[in-house]
Amino acid sequence: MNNSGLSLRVLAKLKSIFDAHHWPTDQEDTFDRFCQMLAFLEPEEQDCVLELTKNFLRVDFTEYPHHIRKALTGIEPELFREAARIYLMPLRAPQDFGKQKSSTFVAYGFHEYRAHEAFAGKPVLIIDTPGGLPRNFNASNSMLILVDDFIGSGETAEGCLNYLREIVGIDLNKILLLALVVQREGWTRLKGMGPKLVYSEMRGKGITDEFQDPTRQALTEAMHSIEAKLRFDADICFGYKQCEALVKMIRTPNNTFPVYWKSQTTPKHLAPFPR
Amino acid sequence: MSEFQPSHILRLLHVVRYRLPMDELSSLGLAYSQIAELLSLGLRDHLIEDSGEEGLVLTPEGQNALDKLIREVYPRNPNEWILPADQHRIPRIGRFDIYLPKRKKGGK
Repeated sequence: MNNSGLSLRVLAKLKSIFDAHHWPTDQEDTFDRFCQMLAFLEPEEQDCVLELTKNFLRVDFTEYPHHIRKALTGIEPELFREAARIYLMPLRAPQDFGKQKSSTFVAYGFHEYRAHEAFAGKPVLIIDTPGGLPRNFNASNSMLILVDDFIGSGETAEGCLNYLREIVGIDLNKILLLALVVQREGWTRLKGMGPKLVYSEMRGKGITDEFQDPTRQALTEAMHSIEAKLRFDADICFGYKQCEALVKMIRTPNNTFPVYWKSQTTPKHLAPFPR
Repeated sequence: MSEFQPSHILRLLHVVRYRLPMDELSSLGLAYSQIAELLSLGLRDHLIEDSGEEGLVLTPEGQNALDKLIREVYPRNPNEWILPADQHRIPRIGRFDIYLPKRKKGGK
């Protein structure tokens, strides 16, 4: 292994961060991949990655039930009081309807929570596409919940909502968006469209929102240096749509800084959380 | 630190003492996660501490442990600060056997 740029001190710092997160170091190769990534970087770049990793949120599939329950507690009791039926569908871009995405997995997980008190005893019907909605949905006392594990920039959700409104003819005020983790930027983008939004965790931009100058400036410069060295495409620098996310779900969203998920062959870079 | 061999512990303390690169540990065949665990144990047992500006240093207990381990593992040269590179030793062969080193690529 090439560890020419990795010192014991950096190794100790990384171990400390893993321990604080309760991430295992010996049962999987994530720790070693982190080390290989850090070994490629200059000291100030290593410090940048270590600092950001302290705030990294990793949600394994075993934790999805916890976050589903937490998100459900955000539903206002009166929301479904007048509803006759609740439909629940995975949140996907229109071109992905019918495809298996992470939101499909989340929707499937809701089978266990159909009797949850958040639904006020109303029947919950889990559907896969808008074709499962009744023709008289707007006129009926029905509600639609769109679920996903992660909302980043909000672009996917916006596309889905626009499709439902313009093509299917759904009243967006009859929709609830439920995400396990949401970037604040995406929530801001969606909140004016009509649907209510509940979530388990809300996250800000990893550098811009979490640090003040001069630290923010130093971290920004270090990350620019890292991304130039690893030759990432411009559209994913600082995460897709510059979301600066520090999140890994079952799959790492591309809104997360690419140093965490984008492996490269030239130069050789093995990402710790590959997609 | 019983799950690691004395030679591993010795090498860790030696690396910290003389500020050597981590290659000295990885050349023993240890993965990063194993080196991290070894380091954690050294910190936990107060053989090593983070002194801040100077980085990781041996504590007095760590220096004593280093001296003791050198005498135990290398009794013939306990006062040398350069440790034998055990990882490069070749197995002993018979007195009348012919040693043929492996040919390197592109070499003669």
